[in-house]
Amino acid sequence: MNFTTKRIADGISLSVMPSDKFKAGVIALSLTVPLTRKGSAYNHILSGLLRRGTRKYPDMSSLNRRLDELYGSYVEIKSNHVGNNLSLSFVCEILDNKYIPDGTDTLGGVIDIVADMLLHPLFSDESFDSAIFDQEIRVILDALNAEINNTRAYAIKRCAELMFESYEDYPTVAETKQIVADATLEDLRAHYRELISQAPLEVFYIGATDTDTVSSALLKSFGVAHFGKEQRICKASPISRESFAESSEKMPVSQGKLAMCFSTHTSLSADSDDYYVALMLNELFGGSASSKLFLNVREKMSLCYYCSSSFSTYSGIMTVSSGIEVKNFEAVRAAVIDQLEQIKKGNISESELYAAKRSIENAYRQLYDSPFDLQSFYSGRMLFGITDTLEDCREKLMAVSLEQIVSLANKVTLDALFFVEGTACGATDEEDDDE
Amino acid sequence: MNNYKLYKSSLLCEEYREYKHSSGLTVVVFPKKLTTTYAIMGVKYGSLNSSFTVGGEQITVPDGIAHFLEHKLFTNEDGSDSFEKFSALGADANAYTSFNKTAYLFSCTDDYRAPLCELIDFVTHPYFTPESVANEIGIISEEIRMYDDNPGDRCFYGMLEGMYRHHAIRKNICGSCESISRITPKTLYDCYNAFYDLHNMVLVVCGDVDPDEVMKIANEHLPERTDDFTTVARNENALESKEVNLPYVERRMQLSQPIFNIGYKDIDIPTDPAERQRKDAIMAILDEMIFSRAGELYNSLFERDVISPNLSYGYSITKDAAYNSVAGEADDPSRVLSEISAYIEELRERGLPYDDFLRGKRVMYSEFVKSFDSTDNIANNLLAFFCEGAELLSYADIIESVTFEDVCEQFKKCFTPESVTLSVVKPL
Repeated sequence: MNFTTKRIADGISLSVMPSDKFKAGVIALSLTVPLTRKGSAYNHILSGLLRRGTRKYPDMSSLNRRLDELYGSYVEIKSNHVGNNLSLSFVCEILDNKYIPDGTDTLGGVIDIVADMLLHPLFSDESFDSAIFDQEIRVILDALNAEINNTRAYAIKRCAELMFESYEDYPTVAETKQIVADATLEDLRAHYRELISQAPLEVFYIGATDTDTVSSALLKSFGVAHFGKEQRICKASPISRESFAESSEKMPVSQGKLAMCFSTHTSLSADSDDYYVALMLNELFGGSASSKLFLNVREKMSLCYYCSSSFSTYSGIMTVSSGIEVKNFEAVRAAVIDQLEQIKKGNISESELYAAKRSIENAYRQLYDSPFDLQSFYSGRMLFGITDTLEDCREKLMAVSLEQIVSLANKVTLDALFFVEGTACGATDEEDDDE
Repeated sequence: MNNYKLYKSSLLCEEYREYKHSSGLTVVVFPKKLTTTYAIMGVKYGSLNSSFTVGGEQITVPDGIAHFLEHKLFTNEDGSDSFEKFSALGADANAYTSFNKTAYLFSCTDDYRAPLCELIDFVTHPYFTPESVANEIGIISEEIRMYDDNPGDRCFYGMLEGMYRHHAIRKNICGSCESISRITPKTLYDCYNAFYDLHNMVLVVCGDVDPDEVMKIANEHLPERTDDFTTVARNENALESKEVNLPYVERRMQLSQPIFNIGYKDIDIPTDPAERQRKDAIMAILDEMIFSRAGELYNSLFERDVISPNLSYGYSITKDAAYNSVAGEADDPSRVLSEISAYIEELRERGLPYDDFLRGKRVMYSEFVKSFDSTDNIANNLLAFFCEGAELLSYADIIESVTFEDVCEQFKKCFTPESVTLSVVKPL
């Protein structure tokens, strides 16, 4: 599956991947600028404000009703970090015309709503009710405070913050809360104007509608808009610490949550294929049910239900996460480090490497079945001028050798560790009221 | 020669075959031109079946055993682990246990034949030893603790405990650290022999596959004939009255803001599968009319700060249990319930808006069509429909056939004051 990209107007480019295998197509419209702490916090607020009404649909109810009329079309506004950049995206899922009995133009209708949200949001108007702004601030602060509800994600986030400690632009949760709390409606209007005038609009469509129809629907709805003409992107570079950092926090939960961040000193880049070696290393280490962490720390040692690793494309950080009994903290930490040591020493069987390759190959091929995954895969790479197709990536992964993995593993460093120390052990017993 | 029934929908442009294999196993093959092939071997056996009758003998087993069995089935007699075998074959294997079913599955993007053989083989060959049972206790105990720390999960179970007095749905699918410590190889074999009968199971394969080839593999790996299934599961729904057990359930946990699950208990479960599906469609449209983000209730609650933006809702019906649930975050969950109750009373007086009915129906139709974009969704839905004795493709016609009158009629019977429970988890 291939796609073509063209500039359809000043500041608007459209990429289309034609496909008639899905019943619903996906269109994503994104604005990307270099990451700053303020920009990141403001984008959070902006993604909520843009939903609160437009010139045509003055409140959430009328906006959502219109989406329901368009056969339950779905528009999600996301604020994402892409390496050292910040994207505001409208990701929409739209039922294909073939399944629409009454001839409703769902794609044109959704593009029109997104254009109205982006170009004519109510909050940019002087008469906007500031109480709505205050409410959005409370919503964002509530969502940020809710991070303690999920202790696994909490431990991973704290560990990542240790990794980024010396990076000025990286927004920690605590700082984001402060910026959100201090933000004014005027700050948001200025941020919004800056975003739409500086970033070009990148549109990616996967579905059965032809390029000309998508293009004219975009031009009709966005025609007179003045988006930024040039994409300004910061290149991604691998993240690491000069010295190891460790921290922990006591919480009244029954399970301890361990997060360990390893720097692989390599990340996605147009200049090197080391990234693929790091992906294979992660797969072998803790990326699947045939990985060393799963087979040893879970299956052999029975220390946990999950012990897995994930690799961050743009930062090159490999993060291990495990939910464990607090008393097993040292044992699990040692077991994780030991499994990496085994890789460093080259103690990898042929069958382990084979299973890891098959597993990652399977995961890559499965992306072909999800328009959302395809969009996210290609949009991310396009920003950095990487033109590899999914098939190219698969081939590069398959070509990675054992020696390359061992050599990269020997450069990997454990840079940060965070532990949520559960203090409510034994809480499970009160469940059995019927026994 | 394998005979099959062909199910076809011109609206969805989809079709599939359902075979009844001589062994008793139902085999469903859904050809779909996507990259991923997804196969499930499923059993009509879940956490609800902790008390059952075999050959006239009543058996009660420890809570959480269906889930424990699911974990242990991957271990084979020759010491190998099926998880690893699937990996070596390029397939991604997994399994899950719900209230009413256990599913073993794999997805792959390469040759599906060898993983399919492995799936049938390992599910039909149990092997449990005291050592491997002991080894699994540590792993599952951590799984139980993981769920215990999940406020959403605790709140959901609080709702079930509030609604039901005797029904086994009140109990955690994984059991407790205490109950799983009583599981032995013998109790596992008892359960396996009672429920893992091919007449009580289904094999679903969805992907770019040739149905004849799937059946060839099934013929090679399944016994020719097995005895009829005789295990009788207890009817849990019959243990319940329409009133809830407790109108209010509260827990305290580490949490930033209170969360709630409102449950509306429904014991009026049609025995006919098609009627159940019809009730499901009617209630789904009704829920969409009342609770949707496009509706007046949601917007009024959110704009006045009564709820946080994330509100989820849905109706669930199987032959074992039915209920409506509404879940979200709010500083004062009791106020949310009283506002919802007042709105429902208001709707009873002024009548449901017809426009909302059309909107709800359109959304349900679209959701259903979109569910055919992934082999994962299709296969899991086929399994769920098999467990209910229902047919998947006809659900589109059922949605289409629902009238405004059907919805109004159903609305009169549900959301009654005696059927509601409020489960809340508050910060410590």
